Amino acid sequence: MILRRIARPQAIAKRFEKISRPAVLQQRRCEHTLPPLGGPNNEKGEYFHEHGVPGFLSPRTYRQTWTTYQQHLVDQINNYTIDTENAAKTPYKIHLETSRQPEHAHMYNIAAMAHFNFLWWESIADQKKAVPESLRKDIEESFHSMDLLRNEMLEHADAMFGNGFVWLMKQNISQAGIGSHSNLRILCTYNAGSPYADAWRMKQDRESSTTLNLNGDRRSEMTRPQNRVGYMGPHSQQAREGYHLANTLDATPLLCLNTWQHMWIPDYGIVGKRVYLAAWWERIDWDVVFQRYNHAGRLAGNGYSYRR
Amino acid sequence: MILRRIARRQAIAGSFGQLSQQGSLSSCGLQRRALHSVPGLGDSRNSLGEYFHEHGVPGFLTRTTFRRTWTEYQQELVDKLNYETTATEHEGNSALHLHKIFSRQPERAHIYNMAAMAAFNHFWWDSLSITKTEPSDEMLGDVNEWFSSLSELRQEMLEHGEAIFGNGFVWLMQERTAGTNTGGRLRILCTYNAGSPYRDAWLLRQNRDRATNLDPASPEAVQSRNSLLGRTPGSASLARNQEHSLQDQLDAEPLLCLNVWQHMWVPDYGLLERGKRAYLAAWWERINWDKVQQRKEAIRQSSTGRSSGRGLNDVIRGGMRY
Repeated sequence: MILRRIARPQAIAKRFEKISRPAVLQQRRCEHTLPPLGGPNNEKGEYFHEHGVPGFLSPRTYRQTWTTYQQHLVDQINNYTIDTENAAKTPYKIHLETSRQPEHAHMYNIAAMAHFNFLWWESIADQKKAVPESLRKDIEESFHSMDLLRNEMLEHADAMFGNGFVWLMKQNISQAGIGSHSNLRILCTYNAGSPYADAWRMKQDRESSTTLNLNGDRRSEMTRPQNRVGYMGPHSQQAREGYHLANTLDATPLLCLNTWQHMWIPDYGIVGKRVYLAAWWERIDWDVVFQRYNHAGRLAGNGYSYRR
Repeated sequence: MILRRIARRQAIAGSFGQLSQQGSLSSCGLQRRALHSVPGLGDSRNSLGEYFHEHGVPGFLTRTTFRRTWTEYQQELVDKLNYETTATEHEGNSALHLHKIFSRQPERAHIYNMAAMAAFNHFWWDSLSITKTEPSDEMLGDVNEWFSSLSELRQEMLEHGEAIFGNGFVWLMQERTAGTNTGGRLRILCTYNAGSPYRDAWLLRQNRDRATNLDPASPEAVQSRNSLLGRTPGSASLARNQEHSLQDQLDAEPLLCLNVWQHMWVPDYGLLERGKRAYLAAWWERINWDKVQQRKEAIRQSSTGRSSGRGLNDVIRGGMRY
């Protein structure tokens, strides 16, 4: 990818007046670029550029929503972070930090989208892939079958109004005395809401039209199971039909489904969302999901392999 | 999780991935009288709709975008409304009226969204013109009084449009002044997703960004955009003119809307900020100011004081159902 040098000395100097900097601006290498897809030589990216994702997304959509869009996000991050201590930080880290700073709300949105867009494109394959066995077993424990996981993710995505993501999350909590237990859950986030524990202030996991504006914070009874009694009892998470994550403390995203309109409208039209969702399921890169699954919890909080 | 009638959907729609079952729930075998239908644009003979179907909105939107975001999308919304309301107490009510009712029922969030989008999508397409038009003298007078000039209003509406992250609408609102004939104060309101500008749906106004709980015109939101875009503080007119934003005040009716849902601008203008800005600029040149004037007159003529529960569009169309 082409690295751009940002040369706006006056604007930048003014903006960072309060930070003591030398009067003469030093040109610095831009820290943020597009990460390669599929390997260090960008094998998947090159393929998608020519062929799109066959049976799922056109080459034009790939170029528009990765090549151009990701560059656009990265440029904005560079504009914002150049010559600051943030210049060396990944979008992942920037979004975590700015999630606690309302005065940087716009930067939060940009950094979060840059990170999530990368996670999304990283987990797309050019053909249907098999699910590695141990991951399949864990999924079947949590969701009874792959089909049910598919159904749950697709129905959540279809039900979401507006833009957002549906995540498959792995809880990192280990429960003493219990052997392998189901620990995979689904989480929906709206717009650029974050699935990470450390960005909990920006989770945005509720459909906005179910949150009444009355007294600031009345939530609909229908958006979440209210009871988490016990582990295996009738009101427990296990017994519920919904496989929702009640909170994101200590959970890692394994897989995301992007429901932002710009992903599916160009190829499928407004009425084609369900077709898009079905086609996506056939192009999940389960090897990438498996890598994340294996690493989850080991380096919790560091954003391990996707420090992008 | 939004509660939806999943069981019924599954009985009808079958599995995902079958385009032939898309959009037309009436083809599923349930024979129901459809009370909502896609309204004509421009007049009852749909003259404007026919034109847009062939030519799009010249200089603004392609005909593909028109077909997708009106012909197909409005049909889908109408189908869903029919499905949810036929043979219920809500049968026969307009989408506008329905969205006000459902705004008070959080467990009906899904159908609220459908009704609101049906009403607002219609409002939006009704506000577009084939060619550039001019505001009436009366409208211009109001604009000059509350916004100093037409170009100031343009600048502020476009800035609000840019400021919305994700989907939503920007509305030009006129406050109701009970018991007088003069035009009330003009203000701008942003709503996210299918948030409503109408007083009776105030519970779901959704004028704040969910990440920050800030109205996009608030000083903090403006500052965060300025700092990202490298602008000096106070350079955006939003920052200078806080009193031009309606924010949480209630007693006002919409005159004009700017649709910033992605499906309106991404297909024709691409995904980047500059594409969105080009869309916003092109929109200004295709506003149907005659329609705006009609709405203004309807506000003046409608009963003063509390809203009767009927929306403005109902008044204009003599209560036509859609």
